[in-house]
Amino acid sequence: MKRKLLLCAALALAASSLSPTGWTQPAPPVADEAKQWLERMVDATQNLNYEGTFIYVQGPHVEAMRIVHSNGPDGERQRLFSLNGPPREVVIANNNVICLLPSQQATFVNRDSPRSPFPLSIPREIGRLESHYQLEILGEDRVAGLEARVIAIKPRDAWRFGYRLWLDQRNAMVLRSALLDDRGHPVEQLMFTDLQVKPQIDETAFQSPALPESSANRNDADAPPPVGEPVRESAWRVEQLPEGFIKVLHNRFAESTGRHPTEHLVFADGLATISVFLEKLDGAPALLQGASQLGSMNAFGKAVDGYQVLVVGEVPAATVQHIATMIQYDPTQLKATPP
Amino acid sequence: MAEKTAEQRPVQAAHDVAQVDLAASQLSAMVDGELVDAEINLALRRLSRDGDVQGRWERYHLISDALQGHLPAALDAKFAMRLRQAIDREPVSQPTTRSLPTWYKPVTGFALAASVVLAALFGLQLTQPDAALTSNHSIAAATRAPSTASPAQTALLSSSSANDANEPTDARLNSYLVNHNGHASRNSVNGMLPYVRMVGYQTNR
Repeated sequence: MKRKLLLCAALALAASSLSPTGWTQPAPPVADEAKQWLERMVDATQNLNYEGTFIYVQGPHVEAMRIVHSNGPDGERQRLFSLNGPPREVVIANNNVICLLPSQQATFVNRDSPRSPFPLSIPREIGRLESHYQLEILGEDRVAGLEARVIAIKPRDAWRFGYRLWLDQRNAMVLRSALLDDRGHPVEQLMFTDLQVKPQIDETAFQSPALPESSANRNDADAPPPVGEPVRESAWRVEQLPEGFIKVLHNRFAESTGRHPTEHLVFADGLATISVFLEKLDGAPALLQGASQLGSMNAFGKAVDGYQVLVVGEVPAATVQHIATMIQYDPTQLKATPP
Repeated sequence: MAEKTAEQRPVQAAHDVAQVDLAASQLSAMVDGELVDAEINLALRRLSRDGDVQGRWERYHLISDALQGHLPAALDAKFAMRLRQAIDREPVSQPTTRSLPTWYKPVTGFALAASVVLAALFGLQLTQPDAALTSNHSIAAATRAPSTASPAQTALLSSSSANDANEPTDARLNSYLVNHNGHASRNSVNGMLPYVRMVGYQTNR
């Protein structure tokens, strides 16, 4: 009898001692501080006026790039271009994304969304991020001659990659970033060698010699009409998404070549993004079957019921493969549509 | 609606009337720009098949133009027929775009015509891309070489060999990748990186 009572007391003690160290505890102050740094970072990268040069390393490849960014009465503008190799450039202005790529001087634009190319509900995104990543302040460092605060974003499971960020002590601008695989090895790194935050950016810094005059300022009237449209009914189901990924977009867009419209689903966890593309093959061979990788990006392709399923994202290979295998085609989900 | 009445075979005459009325009201709505896309496709298909509907289309346009004061000096009564001939000559239906300067290749979404992005993403694991691309023999050899060839390797080889012959395949996969990055930048706390990746892929070939 006495022994039994003792046991009960021991159990009660164990139970009461569990909760303070368990998951019911509120986030430690370090995590809160790291979160604030992240919020400031998003704000800084979107709202500051800056010009800088950085090194981009991805596996064995090294690139130097320059970025010019401003946010003024005309909205947010950004010009990003390569400093070595064939000239490549991305200009973002007036809700347009214009890319200049080397092959045949191909230029293309995106106007498929009325939203800004840089929208983001900071508290919402970071709130979402916190449930699947652990935020930590690692200490201090120096990047591009500037004092930096080092933040770690560690995934809580194996579905996503981790990041390490070096943020400017003064304004939280990102000075260096590293994407780490599950063993903590860098997969992709970006590091500024020079960064200037200015009250105003000189207009000439946005002028691209490669792009036709004022293409970045082209008004909406002479741009092609948007064709991507939201999908309300789809025969496709993605079951058992990795936890934390939510669907942020489901569009149908037509290729310029007049092919079948492609369905595009985007899933995001606040940091990583996964795209699923679904295109009817019409007897043609599949574009990609199996896995492929470039730096931080993984892709997995599969043919399902005569459709090409392609999953792409900056997540581990197992994640894109998992999603590709979980996709199901169920035409009975569709209401009868006219022939 | 029309499909349901079609089941009632005995009242064929009533069905035909309903069908014609539906087509007519659809045409009228299309002339007025009030049809949704799916219905436009249906109406256009009818229009291209049916001579009666074509005549109707012409009349509706005439009415609409007259009401809005847009009548041309001379009327072309054979418009619908010529339109159909023109449609027949088209290889595939193309999305309509306005005429633009030649440098500018407007495409939908983030599609693009270059093959570089694809080569970067889907060709990275090829150890000897040139050899694999120039000779079928070496492709076969490469696929056979590691007895435990991963799906990734075989897929890469087959997709790269297809790329050579099939430029549109490249363009499609490219557009997927670029499209993904465009959306990634919108949905990630670290919104700068996806654009950096877009620029960075190009020389990874």
